[in-house]
Amino acid sequence: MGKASFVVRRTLQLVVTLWAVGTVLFALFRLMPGDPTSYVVSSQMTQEARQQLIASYGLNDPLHIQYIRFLENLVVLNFGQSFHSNQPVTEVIATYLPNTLVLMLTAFIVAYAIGITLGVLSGWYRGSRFERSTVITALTARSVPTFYVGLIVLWIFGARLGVIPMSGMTSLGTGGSNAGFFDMVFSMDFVHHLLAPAVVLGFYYMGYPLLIMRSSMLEVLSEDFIDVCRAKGLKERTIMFKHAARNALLPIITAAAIALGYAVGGSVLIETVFAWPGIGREMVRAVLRRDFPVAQGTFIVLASTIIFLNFVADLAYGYLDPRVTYD
Amino acid sequence: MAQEEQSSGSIFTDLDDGSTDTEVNKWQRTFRLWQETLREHWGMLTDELSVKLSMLTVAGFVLIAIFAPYIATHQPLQRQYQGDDGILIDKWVEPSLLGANSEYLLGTTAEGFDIFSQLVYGTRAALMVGLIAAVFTAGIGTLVGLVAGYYGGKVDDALMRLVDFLYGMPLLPTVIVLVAVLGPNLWNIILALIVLQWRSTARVIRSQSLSLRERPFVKAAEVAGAGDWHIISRHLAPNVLPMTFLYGSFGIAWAILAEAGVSFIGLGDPNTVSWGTMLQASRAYSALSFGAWWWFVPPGICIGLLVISGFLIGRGYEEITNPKLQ
Amino acid sequence: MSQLEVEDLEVYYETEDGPAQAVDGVSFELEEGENLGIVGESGCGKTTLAKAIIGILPDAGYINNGSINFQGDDLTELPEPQRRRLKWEEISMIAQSAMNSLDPVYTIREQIVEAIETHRPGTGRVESDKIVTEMFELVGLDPDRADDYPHQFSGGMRQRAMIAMALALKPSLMLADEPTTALDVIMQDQILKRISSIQEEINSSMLVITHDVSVVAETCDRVIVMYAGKVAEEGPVEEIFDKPYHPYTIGLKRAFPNIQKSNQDLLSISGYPPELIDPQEGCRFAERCPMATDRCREEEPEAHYNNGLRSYCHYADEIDSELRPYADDSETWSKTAAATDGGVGE
Repeated sequence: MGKASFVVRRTLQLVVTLWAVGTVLFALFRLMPGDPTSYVVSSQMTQEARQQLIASYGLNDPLHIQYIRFLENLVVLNFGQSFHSNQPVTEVIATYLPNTLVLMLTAFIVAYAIGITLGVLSGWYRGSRFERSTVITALTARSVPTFYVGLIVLWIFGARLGVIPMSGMTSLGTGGSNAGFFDMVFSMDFVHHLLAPAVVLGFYYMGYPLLIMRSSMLEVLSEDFIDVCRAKGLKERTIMFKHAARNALLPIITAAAIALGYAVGGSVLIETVFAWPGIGREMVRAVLRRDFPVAQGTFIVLASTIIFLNFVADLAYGYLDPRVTYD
Repeated sequence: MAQEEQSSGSIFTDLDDGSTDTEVNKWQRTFRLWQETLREHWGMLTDELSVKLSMLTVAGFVLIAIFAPYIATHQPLQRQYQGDDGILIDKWVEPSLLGANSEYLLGTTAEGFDIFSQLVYGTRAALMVGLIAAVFTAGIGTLVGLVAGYYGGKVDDALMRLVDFLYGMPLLPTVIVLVAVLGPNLWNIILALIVLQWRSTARVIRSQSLSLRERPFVKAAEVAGAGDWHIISRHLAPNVLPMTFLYGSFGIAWAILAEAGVSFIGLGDPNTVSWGTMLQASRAYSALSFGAWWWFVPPGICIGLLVISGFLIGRGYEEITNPKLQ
Repeated sequence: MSQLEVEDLEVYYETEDGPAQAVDGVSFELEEGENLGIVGESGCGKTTLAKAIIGILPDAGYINNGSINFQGDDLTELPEPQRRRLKWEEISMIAQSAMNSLDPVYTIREQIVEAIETHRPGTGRVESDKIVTEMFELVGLDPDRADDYPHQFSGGMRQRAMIAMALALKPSLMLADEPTTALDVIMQDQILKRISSIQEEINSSMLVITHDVSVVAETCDRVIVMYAGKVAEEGPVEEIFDKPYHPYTIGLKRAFPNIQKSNQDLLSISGYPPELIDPQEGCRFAERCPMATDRCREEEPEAHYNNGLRSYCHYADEIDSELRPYADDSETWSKTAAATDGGVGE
């Protein structure tokens, strides 16, 4: 009974949060000072076309009817059309989202794998020079703006040494959009382009799990059961991984979920610096161009991803920690 | 083991003496309690070398910000012209620090602005954003956390739902959207940051508040009839103070990084120079390809120094809040 | 040859201000099948002593001098792999039943089997499960609950689970560290009785580390009273509680209620234990002792033997003649309280 109702309740929370985000966006774009119609019509249009569009969008209708229609559209994922390209926003999203996912996922996985391992080791070998230098590196990685690191990497390895491409996801002439997504992903050219942004982004991500894991290890190592493990004659490595790290890992799950809220921001900046055609960069471009439908649509996708991943993390924690009571 | 000394500044001195003629104001007592707590923290903090260095760094930047007009060689957003005629703009001039024959320490930008002066005046923007956002982030977060943890029940539920919602919003994209809607200027950036960032402080302070609430000394105060605000300000607050300052310090760091990111995107304040806008300009004018590294390298270093100082001071507080890490 | 022989053991901790001499020259012997209690207040070094014997000193701790001879081998000299083999198989530990003495993310069965597999690899599922069931029944736990997690057990059950784990490899020596601190009085009684009967069954000896003198009185044959890293007094339980010869033990005894003399007022030994870093000269207890003389403050006492008790006090031999009624009087101790002004200053 406990587990099932836990999942149900969390799912409900998920839906409510999504609804709340949508509502806030609605309010933001509509109730802000300025031309309320500008979110749907662009200034390039003629008076006639504008009036037509306004009428067809029902912008003359009272606010609550607009709101209901907004929610309806949201549920069926109808985000309207881009001002810039007249493409349906969903198409825009479909084009750019996979690119972001590839970049973020690669960076995230590598960063967490390395970060957690280094965190375990630096917590275990407390007070050593290794620990000190690891911590300083982690702090520096989080203190220097990630896009700055990207700039420096681009400058040294791109402009000066010419080892990495200066921008983009694929080189001109490799048939980017014509080839299938998976064909592209597994090409050397793609990997060559992915390398720098993924490393820079990964470097940025790595600091957080490293530091959290280290603190968590230090806490766990002060617990009594570690003494009992030693008294049992277990090998040091067994204690470090099977007992200490396993317990220390639990807070990382929640920490990872929180980190995602900041991770998206990082990917937005990296995509901008490396001109990686992802959804983050697209959102920024849309915002700067006042292409509200695209800005709105991409933002909702980003927020939904965070909310959904938080939900998954919640469930994962409940599964990993036998002490969690499903209340 | 030494016994505790009866310090003359003890908040209970008047009670111990038995002298109840001079009614020491309740608020005076609370104030002195806070004073002592802060003094104790200061001692523990400054024990750590990294914290001392960080505080010096921050102090250094603060001084630069205050005395910017005396330190900078030119006005940051004033186009510089060759010679005295004022016709040709002095663009892309190389830095005199690197041996070039110019009057500009770090050279000029593509638009003819003095980079060194921009760097100096940039401290003002960074510190303003960092400190204001940090104070409000930690302040609002602590207040909400204390109230939610202390009152519990429906109040706690409602406040935490709000916090959960805020956690669902990705930080940078939301700030970007807010700044785009409100208009790109420094105050809007600060406001957008505050609106989101208090969420983490609130959560942590709330959980501390929840556990503190169950402690015997709080229960005793309740039984003795102490008012809610008395308990919160006198018993709970001083105990969560280290956490508040921890998040305040981290808040400075996060705020400066966020402003840099927003400015880099192009939504920075066009009328103010910040290190972020410097980086944005350098990219807009392809300083990278031209190899004018003196333009884009220094701002990032400044950001890095100030931010890591914020983090190190925060970590100093981490050791106070969690002795197992010492 | 006794099973365990500790000789002049010195265990220090590295600190910023110099080595803390937590155990400073302790010697004792333990015979097979014997129960030895080690009592003392917090910080007297008993836990450090226990950790040194089991071999789980923290990084900052080290054995400065002395030896721990177990069944002929000096544990301080033994290389790590052999030391590890002895752990749990020969010397096991019953930790406190506090929430985190068992790993919270593994079941009880998993943790017991881990001990079995580590020392007897290849034991196999069936055999290991048999041992788990056997141990559970021995401690009075339902074997069906072996697959529960530690947090699902009550405090008393957890303590019994830990005893089960400690016994799994039928060790010759068990170390019980505060075995009843986290339990209520009734549970305490049950656990103690159970431990005693199990011991008899498997004929293991036991070291009981505790600050609760009554536990020792119930379960031990002999007891060591420790103070400030040194042995104050040692001897058979009945003798030591009937007529102790060391002022500290006398004070301790009078601090506990006596069921026969229910009108007797309890005394408290005022003051705090001394610094372990760079300790003062002379007898460690001199500051708090109501009968201390200048000699006590200058010279460290040697062992004096009376009535089967080994006492480290210059005046142990004189206790019986004139000093005992003086030492037994609570007035004596409160006078010392006034003299030391409520505490040991810097």
